[in-house]
Amino acid sequence: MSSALMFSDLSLENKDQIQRLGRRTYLQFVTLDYVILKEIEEINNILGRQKSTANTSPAKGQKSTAYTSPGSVLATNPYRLKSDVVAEIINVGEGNPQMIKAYSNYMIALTLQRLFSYGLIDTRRIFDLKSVLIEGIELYSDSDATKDTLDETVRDYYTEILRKRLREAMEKANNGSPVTANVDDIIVQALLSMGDLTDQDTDILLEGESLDENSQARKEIDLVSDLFEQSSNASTGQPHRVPCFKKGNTEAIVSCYLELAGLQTLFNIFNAYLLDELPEGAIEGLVNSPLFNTVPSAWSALFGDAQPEIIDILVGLLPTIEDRFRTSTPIANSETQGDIQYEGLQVMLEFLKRTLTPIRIKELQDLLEDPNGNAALVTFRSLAILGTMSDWQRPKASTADPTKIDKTDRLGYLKLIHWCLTDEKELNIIFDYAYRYYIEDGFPNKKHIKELQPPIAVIPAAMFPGSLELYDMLPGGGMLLDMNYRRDQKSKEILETRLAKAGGIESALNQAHVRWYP
Amino acid sequence: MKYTTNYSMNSSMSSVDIKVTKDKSHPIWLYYVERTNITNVFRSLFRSFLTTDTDMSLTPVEDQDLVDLLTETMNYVFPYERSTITRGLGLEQLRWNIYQRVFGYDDKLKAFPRSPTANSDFHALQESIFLNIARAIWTKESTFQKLADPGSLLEMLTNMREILLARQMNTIEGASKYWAIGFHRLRKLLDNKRLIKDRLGITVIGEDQILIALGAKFKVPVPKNTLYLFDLAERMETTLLQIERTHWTIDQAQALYNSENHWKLLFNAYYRVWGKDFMQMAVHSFPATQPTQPIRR
Repeated sequence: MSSALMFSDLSLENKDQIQRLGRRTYLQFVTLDYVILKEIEEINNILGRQKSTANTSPAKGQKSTAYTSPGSVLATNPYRLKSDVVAEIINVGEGNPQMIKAYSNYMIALTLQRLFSYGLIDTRRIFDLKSVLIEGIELYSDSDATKDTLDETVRDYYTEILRKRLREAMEKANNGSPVTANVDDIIVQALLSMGDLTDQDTDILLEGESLDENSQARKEIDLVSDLFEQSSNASTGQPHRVPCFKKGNTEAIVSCYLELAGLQTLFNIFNAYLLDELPEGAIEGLVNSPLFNTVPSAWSALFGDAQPEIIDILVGLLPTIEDRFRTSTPIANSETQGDIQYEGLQVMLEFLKRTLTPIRIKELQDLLEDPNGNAALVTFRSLAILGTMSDWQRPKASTADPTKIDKTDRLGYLKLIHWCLTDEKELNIIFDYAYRYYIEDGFPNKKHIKELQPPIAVIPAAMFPGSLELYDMLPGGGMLLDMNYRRDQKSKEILETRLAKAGGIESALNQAHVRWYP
Repeated sequence: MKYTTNYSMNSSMSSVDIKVTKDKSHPIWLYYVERTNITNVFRSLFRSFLTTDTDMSLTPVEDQDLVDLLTETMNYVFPYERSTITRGLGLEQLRWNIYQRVFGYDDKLKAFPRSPTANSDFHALQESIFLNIARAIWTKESTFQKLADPGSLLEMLTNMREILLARQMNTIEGASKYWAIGFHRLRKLLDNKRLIKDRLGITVIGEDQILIALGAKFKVPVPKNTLYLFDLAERMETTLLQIERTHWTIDQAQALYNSENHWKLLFNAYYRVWGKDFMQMAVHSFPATQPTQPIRR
């Protein structure tokens, strides 16, 4: 493949910062889902182990409910443990550091999901809170243009200003009464971590054109690969890297994911405040800790009318994917790819049919109409849909068990959302994923997949060149202007909603970077 | 139809290229919105708002936000000049100057500073492009008549891109963003139910109809085809931005023909505004008898 055939747009100025922030927040949200899953699994295992030992000693064990198979806790509702399960956890967890660790991680992940759900529906607000104007220069754009590294004093200044501003905003939102220091610290850190995969405590300069954009992008590739392609042999992550899900025990897996998603610092801070007041090994105080409620409520006060731009993008783009694939033509001089493109298209259509069910699109549309944090939480949380815990992973070909395959194809859907939010949206990337998704198992019409097996080489980039939005790159593409028009209209709608209120002109001016005053 | 050679006019040239900002607001949008006379309607409205309560009476408590909204809009859209230079030229006059400079749309009745260099070709070139596209759309399904001519379309698009970009220098970018925000605010006010329906008593539906009714109320003429002016503003903006952003190749020019619905809607709005129906012209024209307009320099 010559590089001339890759159509990705690499110029930075074309990348939408809001979209990037939203995409990474979304990835962090999914990571939190995975952490919840892993910790539930861990809790389940500890309870199961406890039960088996309890059964051997006749003195105990009358009280315990049946945890015969792993996954029974999940089978109820992974986001809200039943009270008898919680009682059991308290019972078992007293003085059991493993259980305390698992449970506190579980609760922190749950709480953080509530915070991060706002990042999905009101990404612009997060962005506004994160970007600080100092003397009219946006810090991350050009103040350090002459140096490779960031100026320490500038960075500290930035952090200080950010904290101060955030405190003021929270004080305002909470009727003038300042929130307690621990809540405040957690929220500041959550804001810094949101959409930032690098997780450098103070090195928050910054989302957008930050200097460490490259390392962000690298971590994102790894995270995407680890989250969505666990069953696949050919991972798209960096070579020679042990994927997180192969790390062995739960603790290592979870911390690996947190590290990749840039959430480790946030977790540490939260954990420190959580365990701060508790005596060693006291799980009861942990269960009833007020932080799980005060943090989300102080946080939610920061948000008013949401502008769900990310959801808007998704609702606009997801339904167009199928048409885009149907109108895509293989590159002109690749005959083999042209021959098998029909089969490739069938695989892709099957993938879309399964992942992009009407009810999921409807959910997103509902969210767009009524954007609030709780609705976003319900829409994007995925664990409740999984039948059993192993559903997150699709089994490998050798162990393929048709009964075990995730019937809901939720993971494919999550991946599709992420792809829709990427800057390039190259068709070949999502086709490559769908192809590998089915090559191992589960494709109902074996004929199509057979055509795509060796000796014929499938070259996704030649079979489906171009990207979701850039129709003009293709000789046979269509609808280019219609899509641009729709996008223009959408950005105007967003601009007009900002302008609907008094004071809206100021923020619109800032956003558009208008420096021309008559 | 596939083109294996990747023919591009621009790749062989190494001239200076001008980048287009991502959130650019094109002055063409301002031009067509301004043609609805929306600024003069609101000028009268604000005058009435400041001097009398016969048309609307906003109470200090319940309507405070509305008063704020109106005052803010007024200060923004009808600002006071900040420098003695802009004062000498006039801010509205500078806006009209943009239309004259970039598109050659020069309203002879108005007095404003005119630029000696202007894109007088713009209008003719745009119509040639539209006719080319209309022909291609008309004969798309035909088996004996193929009038699609992506080659000349490519040249015209490249030409259009060059003349447009070369004329949007200095303050035009910032000024058009500034005024776009102002005009959007005015249009948003048309949607403000409390102001329009409750306070001014206008009960028609649609931005264009509201504007016409407002014009009637404040004795400012508003053109009948306001709906199409708004429509054309949006369509033309997308089209021109696309032309400016793309380094045109023959494949891309060819791909433009596929956005059939966009063009048909644009042609319709254009017909209502300028009185020229490209689809009809395409039907009655053959390239030999009615050539695309030559570019005059």
